[in-house]
Amino acid sequence: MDKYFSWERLWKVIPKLNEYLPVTIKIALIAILLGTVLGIFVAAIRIYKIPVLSRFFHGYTTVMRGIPFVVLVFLVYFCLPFLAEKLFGVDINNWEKMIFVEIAYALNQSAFVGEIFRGAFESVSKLQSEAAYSVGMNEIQTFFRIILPQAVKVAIPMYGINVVWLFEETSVTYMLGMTDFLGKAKELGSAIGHSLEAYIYVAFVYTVISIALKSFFKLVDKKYTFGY
Amino acid sequence: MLEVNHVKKSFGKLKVLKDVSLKVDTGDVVVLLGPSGSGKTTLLRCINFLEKADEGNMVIDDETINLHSAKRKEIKSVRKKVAFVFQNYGLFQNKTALQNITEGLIVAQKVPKEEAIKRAEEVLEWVGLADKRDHYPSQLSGGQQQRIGIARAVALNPDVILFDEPTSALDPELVGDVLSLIKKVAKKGITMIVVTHEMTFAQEVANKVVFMDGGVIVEQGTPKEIFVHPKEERTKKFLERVLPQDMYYI
Repeated sequence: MDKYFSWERLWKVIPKLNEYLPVTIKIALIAILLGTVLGIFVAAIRIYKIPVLSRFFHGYTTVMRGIPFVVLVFLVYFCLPFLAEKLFGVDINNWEKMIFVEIAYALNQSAFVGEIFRGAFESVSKLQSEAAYSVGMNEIQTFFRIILPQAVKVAIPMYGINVVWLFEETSVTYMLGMTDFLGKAKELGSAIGHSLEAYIYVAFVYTVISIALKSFFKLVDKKYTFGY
Repeated sequence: MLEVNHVKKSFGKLKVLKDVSLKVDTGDVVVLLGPSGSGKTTLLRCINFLEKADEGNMVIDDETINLHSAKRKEIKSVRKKVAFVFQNYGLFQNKTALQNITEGLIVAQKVPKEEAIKRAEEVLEWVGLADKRDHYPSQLSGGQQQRIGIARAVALNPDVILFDEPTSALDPELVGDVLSLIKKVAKKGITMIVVTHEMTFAQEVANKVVFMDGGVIVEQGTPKEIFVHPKEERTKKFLERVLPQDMYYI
């Protein structure tokens, strides 16, 4: 039994792995922030049907949603330095790997979050803004007091699922050779010749955080009901 | 007190309003009748700037405002004087019954919060829904929602209330309550323009009936003139189809 799994080894790897959990959380937080801001931007362009840009981001969204995230990470990591050098003559090969990961997230999330927000805003009936105008409210008051709260309500469940997905997906970054939470597990495995304990702990932590995130969004969704 | 002159409006190639003029005096209850697609709703929406007319103007309180190129300030001042009741209620889904009424008062009219709440509570009482104060629209029946919609319009203390088919989205058994509330509003002396298909209501409450068809006003007069002695062939045809048997004297 000891050959495959030992409790002793498990207790030993936990503190070492924990040191790298912040790396993973940092990647996720930056990605959430970037994704949300860019997503709102893309959604706004498409909702207000800004000429040319709206069509561009329609195509962009379709393509980005079709590329698996792992593939996108590799594409960004290998293509971007090439493009940067060809187009701008800049050498970005020694940029931190995390920057490439965040760029991949920005591309991916602006498409996914953009679609979530676009759908949410379009689900709010036009009658809501007409009613607000009819009682004398202006466009800005109508947007912030009537439309936005209703759109956010619609967006919360999907947005929550997206955040959970995003968090779990940070694990692909180890493939670029970055030492994040999962990357450390792999490293420890090679160093001590036993991988199972580290992977079990990694799986456990990912699960706990995912459940916590899901519960958080469920709670927000429940709090924010408007009587439904 | 309210006049619209030469209003024209097209949606694409479809001419919905072809030069419509209408005069409404203070305290009038005007019922707009006509087959669907005749432009009744569009006319109401143009008066509240929910639709931008292609041409035409309105005169309210001796002020002439262009319906096509009104400035924001002018639109705001019109909306302050003219409230709107929607066919599908148009209650803010993210606000309670009370907040639906206070929202416009506090945000648009800058009424102090306590005063707005007090006024909203009074109006809720008046429409018989004081106990629904903290309910969201999704927790109310269609009839209750429309009564809140009317309460919201009344609370804004407008000179004119426009009703756009206020009962056509309701279940038949809920129509009566809403109609009697609209009668109650009329008794307050508020000027009203009502688009409706409720002929009995029109006959009882209106002092002026306007018949529209194909984007023009075909005929207007007192309920008696229109319902009993319609002059135009088109009016007669329409009334034959819609009047209940016991009201059909023609």
